[in-house]
Amino acid sequence: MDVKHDPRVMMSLATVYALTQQTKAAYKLAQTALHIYPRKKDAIARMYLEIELLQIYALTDNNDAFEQLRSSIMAQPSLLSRNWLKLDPVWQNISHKADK
Amino acid sequence: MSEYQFADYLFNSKNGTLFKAGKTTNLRAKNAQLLFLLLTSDNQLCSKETLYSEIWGDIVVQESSLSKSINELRIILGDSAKNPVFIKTWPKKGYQFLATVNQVESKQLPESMMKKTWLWIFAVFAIISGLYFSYGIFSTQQTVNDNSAKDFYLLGLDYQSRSEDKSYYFKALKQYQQAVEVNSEYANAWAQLSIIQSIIYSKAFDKTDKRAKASKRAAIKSLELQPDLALGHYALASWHYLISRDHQKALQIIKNAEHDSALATDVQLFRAAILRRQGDFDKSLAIMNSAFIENPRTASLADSLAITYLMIGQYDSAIALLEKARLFARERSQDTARLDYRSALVLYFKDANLISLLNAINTIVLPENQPHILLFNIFEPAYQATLSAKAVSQDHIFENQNQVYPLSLLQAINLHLQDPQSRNKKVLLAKAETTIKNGCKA
Repeated sequence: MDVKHDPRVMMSLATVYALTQQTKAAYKLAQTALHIYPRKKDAIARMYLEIELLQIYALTDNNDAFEQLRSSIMAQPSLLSRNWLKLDPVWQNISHKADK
Repeated sequence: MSEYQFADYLFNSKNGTLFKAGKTTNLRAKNAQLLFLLLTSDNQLCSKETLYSEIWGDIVVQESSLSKSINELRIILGDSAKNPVFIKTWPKKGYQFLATVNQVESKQLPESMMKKTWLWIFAVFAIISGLYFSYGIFSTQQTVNDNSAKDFYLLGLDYQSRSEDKSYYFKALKQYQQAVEVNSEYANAWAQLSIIQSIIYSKAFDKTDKRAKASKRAAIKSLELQPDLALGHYALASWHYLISRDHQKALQIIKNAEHDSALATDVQLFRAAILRRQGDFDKSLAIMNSAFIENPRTASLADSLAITYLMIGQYDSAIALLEKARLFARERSQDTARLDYRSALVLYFKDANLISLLNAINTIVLPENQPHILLFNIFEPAYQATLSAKAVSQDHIFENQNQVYPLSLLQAINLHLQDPQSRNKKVLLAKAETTIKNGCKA
C-alpha cells in the first residue's frame, strides 16, 4: 500500500478524509490521484478513479462538482450507468437533488 | 497413482478427466474434486460438512452448491438419485459412492487410451486460443527432450485454462516451476512462468516486488535461451503491460511476437486490451471483432468483447456475448463463475435487475477481490457472508488492478448512508486510515 504513489490507495484515503469532514484534503488528494492517471495513459484505471471521486462528491454533498463529473463520466465509455446511479444508496440522495 | 476405475469408467484425478468407451469428459474442477473424494472414501458415507470443507474450504457457499455438483456428476455418469448405481444420497447426512473402485497405475493404462488422452488434451488446447494457451504445444522450434518437464508444462497450461480462481493460478505456477526445475533450458516453460506470475501480480494475489522481479527474470531467461521465441516476447510484453503498466513499451515488444502465427489471436487480443486501456474503444472493438470472427468459439474473446460493449453501454450485445462465452466455457469444462457474475452485472446495469445481481453474488463462489468494490453498498450482505467465514480478526483489504479498499472503509460508507452521525463510523474510519497508511498491518 503506497500512499504516496499508488493512485488507488490515494483515492481510498481521500474517501476517508471525505467522511471525516476533511473535504479540502480529500479533494486535493483525489485530484493528485487523477493526475497520475490521465485518460490517455490508462482510460480504465482513470474511469475507476473518476467514479471514486464521484462517490467522494456524493459523500460530501457537493452537488455542482458531482453533476459536472457525472456528465463527463457518462459521456465516455464507462461502467457507470443510469441504473447504478438510481439504485446504489451511495448516489441516491445527491442524484435526486441533481434531478430537481 | 491418480487413476480410478469403476464400472466402465476411468477417472484421472490429476487432470480431472473421465473416460468411458473412448469418450472423454473433462470435469469441472469442483466436480472433479468431488468425484475424487467420493472415489477415495472406500464406499463409506461422505458427510456434507467434509465435502464442503474439502472442496470449498473457507469460502461460504450456498447449501445448494454441493447438491448442484452432485446432480451434475449424476448426469455425467448417467446415474439417478432415485435408483442410484454410483452416488447414493443420505438425506441431511451426505453422499456415498456405491460402485467398486480400483486404483490403476498410470502405466497399466492401455496404450490406445493414453494416446486418446493426449490427443484429447491437444485438441482442447488447439481450440482454446483465448490467451496464449495453445502456443507452447504447437511450437516446433522448441525441442524438449525431457518428457516430464513437458508434462509439468502441459498440466500448467491445463490449470491456467480451467478457472480464474486464485488456486488454479498457483497450481499452474507450481507446474511451470517444476518444468523449469526439471529442464532449465525449457524456454516456453520460462515464458509461461513469467506470464502466470504477471497475472498473479496484476490480480493482486501476490503483489510483491519479489513476484514482479521473478516474472521479469523468467521472461528474460526465456529470451536468453531462445531470442526469437514469440512466447518469450509475449511474456516480456505482458510484464510491461500488467506489472510496470508501461503500455507503449508493451506495444513495442509485442511486435516481436507477431512472426508466430500460433500466437496471432493472442497478439491481437493483447493489442486490443491495451488500446482499450488507452481509451481507443473503437479500434479495440474492431480488432476484437475481427479476432472473434476468426475464432468464434473462444470464451475469453467473447468475454473481452462483452466487457467492451458493457463499457460503451451496448448491453444487449454484451449479454449475447456473455451467453456465448458461458456456453463455450462450459463446453470445455472451464469455470464459468466470473462469466455468470458478469452476466448478472450487465443485467443489473441494463435493467436494474438487482435480484439477479444479488443471486449471482450469493450463489457464485467468487474470489474475494472479483466483485466491483464500488458496488459494496448494494451487495454488502454478500460480502459480509464471505468475510465472516474468514474470521477476520484484522482489517481486510479488497484489492484488484483498479481499486484498493479496506473493509473498514466500505463498512464506514455503509454506516454513513444509514446514519451519518454514527459513532461506529468514526471508529471504522480511524481503523481505515491506519490500514491504508500501514498496509495490512492494522
